[in-house]
Amino acid sequence: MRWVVTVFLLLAVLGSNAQGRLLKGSLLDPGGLPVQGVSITVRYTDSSKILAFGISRADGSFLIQNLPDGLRQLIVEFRHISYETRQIIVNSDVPGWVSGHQIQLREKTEALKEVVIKREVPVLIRSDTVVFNANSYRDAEVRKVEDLLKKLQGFSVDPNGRLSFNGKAVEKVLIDGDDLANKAYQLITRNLDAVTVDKVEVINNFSDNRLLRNVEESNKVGVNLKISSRFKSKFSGGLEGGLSIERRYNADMNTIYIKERSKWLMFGSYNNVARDPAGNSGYYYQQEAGQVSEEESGLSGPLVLESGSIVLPSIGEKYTRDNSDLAFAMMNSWKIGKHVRLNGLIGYQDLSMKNRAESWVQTEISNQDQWYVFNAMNIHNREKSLEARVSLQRDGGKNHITAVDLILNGIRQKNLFSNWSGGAVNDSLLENLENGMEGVRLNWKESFLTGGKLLQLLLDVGHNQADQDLTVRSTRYLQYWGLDSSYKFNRQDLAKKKNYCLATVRINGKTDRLQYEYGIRSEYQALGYLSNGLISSLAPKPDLVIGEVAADTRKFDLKAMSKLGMDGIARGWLGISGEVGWETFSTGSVENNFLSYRGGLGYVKNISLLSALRLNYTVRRGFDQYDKFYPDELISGNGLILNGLRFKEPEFSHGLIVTVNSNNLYRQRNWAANFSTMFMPRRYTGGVEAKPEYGIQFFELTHVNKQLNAGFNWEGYLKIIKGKLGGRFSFNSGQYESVVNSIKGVSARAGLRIDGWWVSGFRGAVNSEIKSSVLYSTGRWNRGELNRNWQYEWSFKLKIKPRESFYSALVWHAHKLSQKMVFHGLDLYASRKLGKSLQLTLTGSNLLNTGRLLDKMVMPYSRSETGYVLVARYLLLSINCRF
Amino acid sequence: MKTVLLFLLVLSVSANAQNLKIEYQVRFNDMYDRGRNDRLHTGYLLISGGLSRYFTIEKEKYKPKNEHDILIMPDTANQVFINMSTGMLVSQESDIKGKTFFVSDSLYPMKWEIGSEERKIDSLKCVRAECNFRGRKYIAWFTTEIPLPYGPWKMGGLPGLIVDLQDSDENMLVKLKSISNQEQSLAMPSVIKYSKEEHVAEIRKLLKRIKDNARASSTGDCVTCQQQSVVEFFAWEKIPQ
Repeated sequence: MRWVVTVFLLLAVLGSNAQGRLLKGSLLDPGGLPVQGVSITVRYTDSSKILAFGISRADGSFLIQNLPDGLRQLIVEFRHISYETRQIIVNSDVPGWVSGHQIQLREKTEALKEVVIKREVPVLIRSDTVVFNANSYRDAEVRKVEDLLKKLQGFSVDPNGRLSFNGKAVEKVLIDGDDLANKAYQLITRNLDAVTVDKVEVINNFSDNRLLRNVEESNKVGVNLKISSRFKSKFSGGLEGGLSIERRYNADMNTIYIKERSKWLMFGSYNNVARDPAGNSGYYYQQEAGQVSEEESGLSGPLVLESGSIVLPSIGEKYTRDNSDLAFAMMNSWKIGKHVRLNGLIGYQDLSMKNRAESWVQTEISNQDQWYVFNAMNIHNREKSLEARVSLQRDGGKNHITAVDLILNGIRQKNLFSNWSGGAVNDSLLENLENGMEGVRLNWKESFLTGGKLLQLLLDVGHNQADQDLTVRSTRYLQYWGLDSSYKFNRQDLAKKKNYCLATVRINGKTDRLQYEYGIRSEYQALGYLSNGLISSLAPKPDLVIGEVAADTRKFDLKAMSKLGMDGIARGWLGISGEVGWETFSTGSVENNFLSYRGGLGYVKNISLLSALRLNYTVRRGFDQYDKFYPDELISGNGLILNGLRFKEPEFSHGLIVTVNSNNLYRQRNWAANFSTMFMPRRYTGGVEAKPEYGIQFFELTHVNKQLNAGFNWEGYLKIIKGKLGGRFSFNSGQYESVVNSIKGVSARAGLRIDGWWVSGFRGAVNSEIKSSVLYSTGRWNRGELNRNWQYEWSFKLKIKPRESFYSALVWHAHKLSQKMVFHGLDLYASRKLGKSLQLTLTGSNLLNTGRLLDKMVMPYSRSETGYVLVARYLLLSINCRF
Repeated sequence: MKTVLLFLLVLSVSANAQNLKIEYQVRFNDMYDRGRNDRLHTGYLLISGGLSRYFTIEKEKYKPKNEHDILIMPDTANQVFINMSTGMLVSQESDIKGKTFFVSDSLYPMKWEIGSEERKIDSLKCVRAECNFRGRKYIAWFTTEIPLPYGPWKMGGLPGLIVDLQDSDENMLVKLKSISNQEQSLAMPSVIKYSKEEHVAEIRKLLKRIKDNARASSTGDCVTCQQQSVVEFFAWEKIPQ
């Protein structure tokens, strides 16, 4: 007994001096036996915070140390799954209180009930694939797959619906592993209901060709949408219809049928509320073999804030005030044999845009040369397009794949434009432009994997023909130039036929640390033109009949290419690529022969799957697009028709891009930094497209673009502010030197843009988003006066979700797009679930729009401010159901 | 006499305790500290009397990147046995050839810091706790509503069941899925090869041997070569240097 007492005293002394105050005792069951594994917690009587805790030992004893000092009352709670919870209140100033006390627990009559926790892992990184669980990202604003993808960290979506992940362009969007839409994947992302998607898989190192995945680090990204099992093996879909008193309407349909052997998707949309269901997808079918658009403008860059939610009624903008768009697409993937799969797609669009706008343009060519024009415009653009694709793939699952694509497309465009102008120009103009294009393309790929090497034979042949008819009726008086140059009728017709053939043989291989590719490529293009024109002017000028002119161009090249990638160089991946070839370009009787080449040096240091440092330096001599160079006969003989360029010679260009990015999906943080510089000289001769008042002018143009861009962005979830905080800083500068007919001009500009946003993630019913952008730009146009400009825009979004079945959002946005005008707007969205598969929504656009908006355009030789009157205001009530 | 008392004690505890099967969803990054390759597993914590057994079953197989990529699990994410009565923890380890054996370890040596942050996970009110354990920081959410001092892997000793557990780099993410009653018989492993300290000493010896071997093979006949092999060792429970 003395031994026990001695020990107790020792503990008490230690407890009060070194370990704080302590509690100890023992726990017994009703039979007087010790109870092990009892959880003991200590907290203040007025707080739920646990101050100290302990677990009872096998002999039932417990010891809780480090109790806080002070005189406040404490609750000691004893919990065990087999015994009833017991609480004892003690005063904290009594050290060693429970010592010697035995606390008896009463047995529970009920055992622990079974517990099932419902939740899912939102994101999972698996080898080179990131899997997002769609359920974790769906909210009331997510309707279509594109809305869902915008919520996933790392994705960005451009206005045409093109996707990129971590700054890399997404190649394809697959449905359960099958490619139904080819590159027109916006048809899927903009139409398929997000509710049908179970998981979004982002495949890094994606390749179309299964065999290529084993021999190539592609650095490309593909997205696979895994359809939820409840939408499989049955026909399901969604219907939506809406109307507003402003005569706005929306009708939308999407259906899906997924089985193991066949997949079908069907979409349709008819609306005049600026919902673009196809995202200009036709463009990707019109892309011809070997043609890649390149950055040409030296003064492009974020010099103008693009108003995110306002649709500007500018010419060429599809969706302005009175659009009426019909789109329909059907696509399928069908396993027709053991190893053969047939994919098909047919899409039709009828887009109509009517725009009645008043605008005013203040154009400043230089300090002395300024002119002001007031315009009243009526525009009606209508575009009908039809695209069809049949794709056959034979893949036996072994070492040979055959893929054949047959693509048909046709587009008819009709554009009516009338304009009355006053001010510096007195003008009355009525234009009617009709365009048409039909094309057929066959793409054949054979892939053989032998001895760890992949041999690919690619053949791409096609024919397309285009015609363009333009008639213009006009009276015009240009005050600025003091020209009396009225004319009354102008007709221009151009027909173009193109045949092309591209053949490629390529071998890819890979060892542990080495990846290589080599091959040859040859391309032949023949373009035939037929033009016809007539100008009927007011007296005293005589009519000018251009007559029929036929001409053609031909292009042939033979190129050798190689690529070598080495892993483990400076703890990263180093790649060198090169392509060299001989090109012949003939326009009529003139033949140009030259050597073209392209080279690249790249270094990639993968910090993790989604974090990397990339460096890329490219050099180049040559062109991608020969369609823009016209035969001499057309330029000199019919300048009226063509704004064409004459081929001179290819120039050398080079550029450097450095990017570092980190996307930590689990911590919900990502950042990226980039730097790029480019030097691109070009030399052309051409004929200026001319109105009769100017006559036909020729020029020789040499221009040199120099660009430097740098940016940094960061976005992350911060617990302290209970939300997501983000910021972006971007700087760009450019210099554009041009020599036109020996007159040299130098323009330069620099812009700094800072964006910031905060999206709250409170647990309550109310949340908000604040976004703001500030831009400062300065520039000097053609040795003119230095121009400085501040612009900003901000938006505040209030989101209210008082219960699961109701959601509403109100967006107040303001834009100062030039020095003269601030525009405010108010948008609304509210949705109410009426049942499991029925929903009512109210969408309001520009509810408080205040009238005019100024848009600023910066061109190499001029800058202009254009004002618009906005009337795009509506309140649309829609009903949506799923079946 | 001591023997008789001990027998009665175990009997009383068993009579009062439920047999529980606790299921966790486990996401583990096989490439911890070197990159990412997350795989899903199901973790099971079986409790019967004062004994418990935790083990995981992979839901997704490991996909080797090439023929040289071999997964060895030298750590203890797989199987942990606990005897509460004796305060004994035994974990399953494997050697470099993949052969498994058992190592005894101390029970819940980590010092938890219980915070004031609370959140509901489904219907359970949970409290946040943090600790540093063998080179990594862990964040746990436990619930006093289920007063079991257990958790996944070697984690536990809190006044409630661990509902969520993750390390600060999110290499290991464990989430409670369900608790059910299930009859089972548990037994501690009978053959224990090493204590934790002995096992760490063995790993250090092995590491030294690998490093010496690499250094020796880099000299060879090549007198002009200046290469030096770098051996990096990654362990889930970091080995003190």
